[in-house]
Amino acid sequence: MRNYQLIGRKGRPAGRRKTVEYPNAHLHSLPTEILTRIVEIVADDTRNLLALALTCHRFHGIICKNFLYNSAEFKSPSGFFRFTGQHLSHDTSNKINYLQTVRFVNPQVPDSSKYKTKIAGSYAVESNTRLTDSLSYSEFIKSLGTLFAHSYGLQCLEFTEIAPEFAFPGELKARHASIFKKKITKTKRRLNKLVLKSQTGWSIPLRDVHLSLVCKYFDVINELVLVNFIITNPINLDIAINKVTFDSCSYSSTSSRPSSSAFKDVAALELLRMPSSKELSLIDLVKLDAQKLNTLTIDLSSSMFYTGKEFNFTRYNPFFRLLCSREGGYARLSTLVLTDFGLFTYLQHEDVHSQNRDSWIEPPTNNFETFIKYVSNMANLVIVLKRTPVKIQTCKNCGFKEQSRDKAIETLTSQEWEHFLSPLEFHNNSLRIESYKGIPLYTVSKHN
Amino acid sequence: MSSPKVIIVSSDDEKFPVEPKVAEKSILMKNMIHDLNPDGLTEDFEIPTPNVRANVLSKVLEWCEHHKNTVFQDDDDEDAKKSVPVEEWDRNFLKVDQEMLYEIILAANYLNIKPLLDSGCKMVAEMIKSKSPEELRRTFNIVNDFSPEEEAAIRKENEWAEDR
Repeated sequence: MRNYQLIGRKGRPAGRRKTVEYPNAHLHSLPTEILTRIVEIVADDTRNLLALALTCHRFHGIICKNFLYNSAEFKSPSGFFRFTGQHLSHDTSNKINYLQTVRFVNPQVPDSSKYKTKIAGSYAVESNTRLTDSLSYSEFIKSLGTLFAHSYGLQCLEFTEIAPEFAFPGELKARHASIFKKKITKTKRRLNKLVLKSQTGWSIPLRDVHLSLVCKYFDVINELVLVNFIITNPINLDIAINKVTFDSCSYSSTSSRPSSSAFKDVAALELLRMPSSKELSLIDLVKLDAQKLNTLTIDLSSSMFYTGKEFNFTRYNPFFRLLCSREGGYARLSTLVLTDFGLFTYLQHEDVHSQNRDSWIEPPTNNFETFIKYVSNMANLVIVLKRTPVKIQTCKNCGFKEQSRDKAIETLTSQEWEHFLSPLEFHNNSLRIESYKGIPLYTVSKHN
Repeated sequence: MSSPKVIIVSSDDEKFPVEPKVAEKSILMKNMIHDLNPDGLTEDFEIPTPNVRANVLSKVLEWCEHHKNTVFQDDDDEDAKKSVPVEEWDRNFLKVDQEMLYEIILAANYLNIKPLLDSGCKMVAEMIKSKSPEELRRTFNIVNDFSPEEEAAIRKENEWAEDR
């Protein structure tokens, strides 16, 4: 008769376990959610977790499932070497099932670049010394592959402090066509989030080899976050990315830019901490490849928007007018999210009421009112307020009960929001204002 | 005529009459008071707490009485909150035997009194910090249910985490 093992993997204890009866008012008898709450407080120090895991079976289970293996960070090659030896070699261990977030700090670079020391940037000296407790590059890649293949609960993958030499194997790129042909027969897998962060002080050109190994095991990446990369080369990989975030990334345009197949399925694009106005071209770059792009998030705290401490309406109002025109290449864009929004301080009710509306002089367009008029052309506008407390002026003429110069914006009621926004011209079908925590403060929809 | 009270009844049928403000430190009781008395309290209102014994309930209500005017920050930054030390009065209040401490924690969880639950959990967490497995077993009276082989295997499988 055949024996079937459904889930069990290496690491399952054999034989019957001692059962101990504890009184109701005992640490061991507390519900799991309370024990988890207690352990969370001491979880910053791994020694506490390791000690607790060794006290009894119940604590071992809670610690492994919710802490030690839930989110694993490998700060050094030796840490991953030990993990690999214990959990990924021969038969994969049952702890792999608990992995949800895996973070690699300064992942290994190809051997030829790792053991080469550059002297004065000109000479390269080969070193044959290799730490005995670390993985070679090929072992690292092999172990990563096993990890990706077996950790079915994996949600988030992070590679931080990526060195300029870092790359997944080159042959993957060369052979990727055949690999992807093979992959079609596999079960499709989705990775919720992939974060790639370059080494502090470096900006690295994004290449296919930064993603190729991940693409071998996953067909869909819900969100790709790129931090401090230079976007210059087309990325041609057979993967569906739903959302891409460029954080502190710069854009280097080439005269004839072939399209990037990796961005073809992008529906949402997020631009954070843009160093210069050139990075706004990333919208065009993604828009050309992604026919599904409908949501755009722009971080308004990016330094490029400001001249001194003032928002440069003169320069950027025309850009927002074009972006929200819902015409031409921007016709598909339906949602604009403006994060870190601190511009409500420009809304001066006193000035609005003192304006002579019958004036024959063309009103200026380099101001906040015009900015709002333009961005509100978008079907859905979401404004996420800045974290720092924003104080606004209230005005009796608009219906507020009292005049105040420093009312906290987050304390406004729905009716007060209406009064506050009344001098502005909104065209939206839908407007939502949220606090920096994402709590909705005011929502209006023409469909209601 | 005195203002109406909330009468909290313990699992062993002891009654504790308190001001509504004191009872409302418990979100569970606050919701019951407001849902069942939409026009405000006009007469005494009884709330049974079948999971809480009288001596534990009396301690919990002592905490609620002390903090009846305290405004707790509804801070959703969990990381920042867990590093805040337990307030001096709470620390002294929770200097009780372990059994009572766990019962207070369970009652705070059941009655939904988050600041008391947080303080209780932090007190237990402080007892856990920087102890070896053997010290933890002694402190909390936990029986080692691992065989020596299992213990060795766990030490080995978690070795990688030592340099996290």
